[in-house]
Amino acid sequence: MLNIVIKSQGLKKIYRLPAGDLAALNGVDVEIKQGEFVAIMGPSGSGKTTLLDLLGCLDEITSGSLEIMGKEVSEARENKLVLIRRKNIGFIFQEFFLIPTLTALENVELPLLFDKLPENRSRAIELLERVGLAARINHLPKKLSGGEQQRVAIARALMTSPKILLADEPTGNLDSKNSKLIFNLLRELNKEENLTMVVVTHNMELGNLADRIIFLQDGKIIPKEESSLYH
Amino acid sequence: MSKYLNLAYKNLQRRKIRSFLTIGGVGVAVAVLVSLLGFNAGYRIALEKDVSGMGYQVLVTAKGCPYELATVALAGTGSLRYLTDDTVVKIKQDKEVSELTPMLMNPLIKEDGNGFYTFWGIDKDSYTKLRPMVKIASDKHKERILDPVTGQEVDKEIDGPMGRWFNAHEVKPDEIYLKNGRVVKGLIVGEGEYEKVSGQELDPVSGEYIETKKTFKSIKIMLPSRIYNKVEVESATGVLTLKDGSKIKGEITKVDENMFKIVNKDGQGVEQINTYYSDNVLKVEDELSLKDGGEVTGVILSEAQDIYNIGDVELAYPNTEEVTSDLIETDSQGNLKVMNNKPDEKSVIEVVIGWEAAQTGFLQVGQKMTLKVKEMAKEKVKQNLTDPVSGQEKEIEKEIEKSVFNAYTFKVVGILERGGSKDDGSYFIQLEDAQRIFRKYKMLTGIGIKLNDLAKLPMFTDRVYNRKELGETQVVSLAEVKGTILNLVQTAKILVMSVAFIAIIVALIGVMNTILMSVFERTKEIGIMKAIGASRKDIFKLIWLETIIICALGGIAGTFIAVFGGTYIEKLIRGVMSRAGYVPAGQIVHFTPQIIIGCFFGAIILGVLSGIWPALRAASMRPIEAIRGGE
Repeated sequence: MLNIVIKSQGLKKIYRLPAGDLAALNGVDVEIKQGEFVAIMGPSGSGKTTLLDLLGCLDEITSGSLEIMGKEVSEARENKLVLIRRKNIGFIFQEFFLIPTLTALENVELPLLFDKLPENRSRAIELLERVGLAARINHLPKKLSGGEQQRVAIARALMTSPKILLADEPTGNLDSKNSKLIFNLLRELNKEENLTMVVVTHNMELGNLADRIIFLQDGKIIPKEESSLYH
Repeated sequence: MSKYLNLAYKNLQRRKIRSFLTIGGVGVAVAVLVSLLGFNAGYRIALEKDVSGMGYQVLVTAKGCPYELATVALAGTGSLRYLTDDTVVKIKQDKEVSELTPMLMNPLIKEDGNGFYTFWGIDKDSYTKLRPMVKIASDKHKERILDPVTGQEVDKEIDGPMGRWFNAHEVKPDEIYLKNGRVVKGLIVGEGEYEKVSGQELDPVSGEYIETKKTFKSIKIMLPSRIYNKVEVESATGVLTLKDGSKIKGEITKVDENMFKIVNKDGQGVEQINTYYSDNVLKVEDELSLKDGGEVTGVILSEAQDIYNIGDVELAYPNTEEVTSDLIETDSQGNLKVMNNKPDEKSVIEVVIGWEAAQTGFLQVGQKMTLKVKEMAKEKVKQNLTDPVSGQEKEIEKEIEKSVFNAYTFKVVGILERGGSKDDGSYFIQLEDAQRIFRKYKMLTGIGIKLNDLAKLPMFTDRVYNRKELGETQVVSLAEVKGTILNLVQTAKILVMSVAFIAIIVALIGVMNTILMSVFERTKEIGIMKAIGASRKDIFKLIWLETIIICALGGIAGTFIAVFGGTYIEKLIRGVMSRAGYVPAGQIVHFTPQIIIGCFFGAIILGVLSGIWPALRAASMRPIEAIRGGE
């Protein structure tokens, strides 16, 4: 069954700056189905990251509508967004953002602390094993390589069993070999867990591994042919 | 919660030195607060114990500043002023006085300059009646006694009273016999030379009479004396008291060893001359009739054109006067007739000492004790000076004050029961002995009084102040003393409390600063926590917890510092305060569980307060800005 998990219409994000309003997103309509692997691509400043942040309920929407798992979130404020985020969405970032004082295992367990969920160490270990870090669960982030750190971040993002995984340039800080490994891992998770995956990337090669690419330019979705990336 | 604690704790560990310093800052502030509150509680208790341990309710002293008086009343230190012996008799006449006891406190500066031996000259009977808590201890102890068989001093184990009070004995004043039959009584303190007008001579050049001066040997004697201007005096006359008590007034001269001659006028103004055998005469004195109606009886020591200097009078402050040899009677060998009743070298003054004095001096009953002390003494020195005009060298005499080291020897006859007050470190001797050896002839530092009815204290005070003849006296009730000291300490305490308050404010700002800094350093981390599901409340809780941990650890550290450093703090405060005057004898820093628990919770409240702002700042960070902020 191909459920629509993310649906937006006329999604706008306008930053009010001293120099005047800046429309980072200027009316974006997207529909993402469950289990889809979608890449968002576009030049710098095209609004990819803004779109990802809005889809991930990290930021408030200026106008337009957004449904996450069938729930309208466009009117929600920070304290409401956090609940939707907690329940449905996992994040990974370019810089991994692990808590440096916590071990790999503790980092993976951290989301449970905020979700007030009971401790579930076996799941955390399972996830670390799943991302191939069974031997490194008690290492602090600084003892791990970039690729390993990103894998810990992926395990952490999966800890609360989200339906959607959002990734912002997940391979941006990695060499090509590690990039491939991470991308393949994400692809596997997408396939095996039927996880909806939205990935922002610059890397065309990786983008081409996605089911579908959304091209953005100046805050709007454009057809593939019009994207400057092809010129 | 334990997970939050773990996370907060790990965050604090990240910057160990910074956390440690912040905890240290809180610790110091808490330590100061705990000590001050401990002092606050302890001082009051100690002071009350001291005041209630006094025994008398009212103290009469010489007039002075109230703080000084309070100091004198409780500790006996401070710059001393004196009353005279006669005040006791005068005050005793007051109908409200139930008991009274004269006291002379004399601090002897230890040889090393480090503290005092506090000596009290007391009248044993009245003192122990007013202060029954001061009593001879009773316990197993060793006494040094003279073995009757061998004649050697031996230590003997005794179970019972630790000695006794000193034996009351008469201490006679020194006497100087004058040629005119008068006897000057006082305390001979030395000899000197005195230049005096001896007559007039016609100057052959100017044709004027000039005074001739002659230097006499003089005896320096301390006695109560006063100077009266002749304008205040109606008349001066001699008074001869016969052994039957009758008094004859007139101009008295001593004819010889056996006979006095009195010249006076009868009712009709006819001059009469009578003679009396010395055997029938009790004493010969001088009397000044004052214009205000009063009479002063004593011995005229010298008379100049406009003044009388009269000694041996009542209610006068003792001064050192010089009696020149030309006035003093001589025996057939030409020796001056002077009775110096100085105790002979062998008779050692008996002392009863406080418990602590015995402990620190390793003294036991029967032992002799020699105290080496530093005293100020006046000394005449001769100096050669070149006269700037004549260029001739001249010898001049100058009196300088210098410190000398003296030794006093006493025999310990009793040791007092421990009372937890100043008395424990004090030395008690008979009042007259104290007046003699400390050269405070007829002087007192205070009179302790018990009234029949304490409620009538204001009336009693008024009466004392209205009796002019008592001179500059001051009546202090110990309740007032307590109030005065508490006032004084209160002022200091407010000052110190403000310092503590500032320390706390500084600690608060310090903690706030540290946490804010660590919040800003961790902006991205906070953003990521929000991204993975942390709510505002979660972040607030986490940062708040960090602050509270810092303050709680600081609180524990501070309380430990204060409690385990308590003895040092006590010593420090005692040192500072004793410089200013009186410190109660008991423990002045007293930690109650309430103070310790209160301060610990105070530290936590400090954390709660100083954590709010940084925690709010962290909580209100928008996840997107926190994550992307630095990019």
